Amino acid sequence: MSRYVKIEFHSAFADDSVEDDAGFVQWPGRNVVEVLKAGLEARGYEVSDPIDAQESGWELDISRNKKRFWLKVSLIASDENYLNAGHMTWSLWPDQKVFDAFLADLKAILGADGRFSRVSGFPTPA
Amino acid sequence: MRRQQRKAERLARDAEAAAHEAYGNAIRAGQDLKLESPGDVVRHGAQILQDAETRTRKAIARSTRDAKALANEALARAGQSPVLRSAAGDAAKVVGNVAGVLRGGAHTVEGLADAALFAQRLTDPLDLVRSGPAEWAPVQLVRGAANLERRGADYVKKGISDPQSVVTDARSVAGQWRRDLDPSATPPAPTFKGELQRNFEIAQNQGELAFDVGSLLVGGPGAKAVTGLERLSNVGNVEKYLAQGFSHKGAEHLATLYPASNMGSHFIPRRTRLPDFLGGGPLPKSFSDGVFNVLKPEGMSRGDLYELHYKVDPQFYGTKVIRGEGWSGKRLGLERHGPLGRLWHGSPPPLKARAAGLGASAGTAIYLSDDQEARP
Repeated sequence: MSRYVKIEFHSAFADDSVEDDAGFVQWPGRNVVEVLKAGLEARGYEVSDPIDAQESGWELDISRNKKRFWLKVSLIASDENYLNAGHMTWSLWPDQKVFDAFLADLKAILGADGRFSRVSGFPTPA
Repeated sequence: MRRQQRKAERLARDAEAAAHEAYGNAIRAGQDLKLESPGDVVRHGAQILQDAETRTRKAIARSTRDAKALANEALARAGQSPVLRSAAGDAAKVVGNVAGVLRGGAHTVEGLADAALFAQRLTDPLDLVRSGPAEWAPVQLVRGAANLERRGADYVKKGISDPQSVVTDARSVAGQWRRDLDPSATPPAPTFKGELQRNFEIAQNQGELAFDVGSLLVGGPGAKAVTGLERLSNVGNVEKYLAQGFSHKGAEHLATLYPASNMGSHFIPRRTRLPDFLGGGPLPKSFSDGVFNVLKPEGMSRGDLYELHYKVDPQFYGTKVIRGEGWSGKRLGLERHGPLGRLWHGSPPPLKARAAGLGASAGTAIYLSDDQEARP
């Protein structure tokens, strides 16, 4: 049973970073997780505000029906970006079907927005 | 006072009992035992008890000597067996390294293996050929920061134009280091037991070096003891990142000091949530962001921290460096540590030093499960 998936994609999102002389004041990618947040909320999930993980990316804590999920978006280049998704519900026997359903929703959200392209890495449900 | 009195009373009763027993034994044996007063009884009993104690002490001492002799004999026999000798020698080195690491203190940069490798490079005359003048081990040591950076840069230039001067400087330090750290630099001990001890002591020094080398970053004892040798650091080493293909602006940014206010790499990930019966929330911040969970070595450049983070965190792939330019572990050809390497290199020094593996065990179930990524 897998707890995490790694999705790779190309991104046409505008660079929303903010810099000063010392470096990023706001790391890029908040606009990407905002899109994911809106899409998941429309599908009945409860989603946290974007969590700033600095150089690691932007994260979201997600839940529905007492099941918890997590995702992180890491932007590196227009042709190298990552979306990590995890099933975080604490359980001796994690519910793979619930995670598969979450991933299916995520895949649909990415597929509906043309700024995500060359998406790969979603597992084939058993 | 009262305790002393009770002790004396108990002794007197024991002595009396011993004397009575001796009297009974004497009668049965047909011996004539003259105990004419209560005082005689107690004195005789006390002597019996004293004699018994003396015999017991002698027996214990004899057993200890015998046990030591047996152990030495077993050690000598083990030394004659190539298999046992090899295993015992390896064990002495491992135990010595661990002892040295614990002895050395809290700071290390890249773990025991990397620090020992650096020590070996420092004493290897071929390192200049293998690593090139900019990355030669003695030159790396003198690369420093602030106004020391200029001295370091001058030293690098001098080193390139006059390598022998750097070799001489490094040798004067490295000579003693080599004797303390390199098993081949001292003759083997005449006995197997002595050889075990020699390997243990050298391994301890190697272990402690792991902390000394790291502590050079913070001006620790290694730096203070050696004149002219500064930090082991790529802070200011723009050339490294230019060589990796970054723009000048990007390379300069990667060569800056990783900010203390940034989050570093978390040994137990921040995304970890407690079970519902414990509230279901995140781990306590005091632990999650504390020194036992956050890997953020002091004095490290941004670029080096990203490399470390990539190697120990399977969910870190890279990041933006500056607007329009990214850092990718994959594109740099970096290799990630395996599970055991992540446990060692990814655990913060205080966790390693103080928990000596217990922290790694505690985090294993969460940490290693990150490896279980679904394949499409």
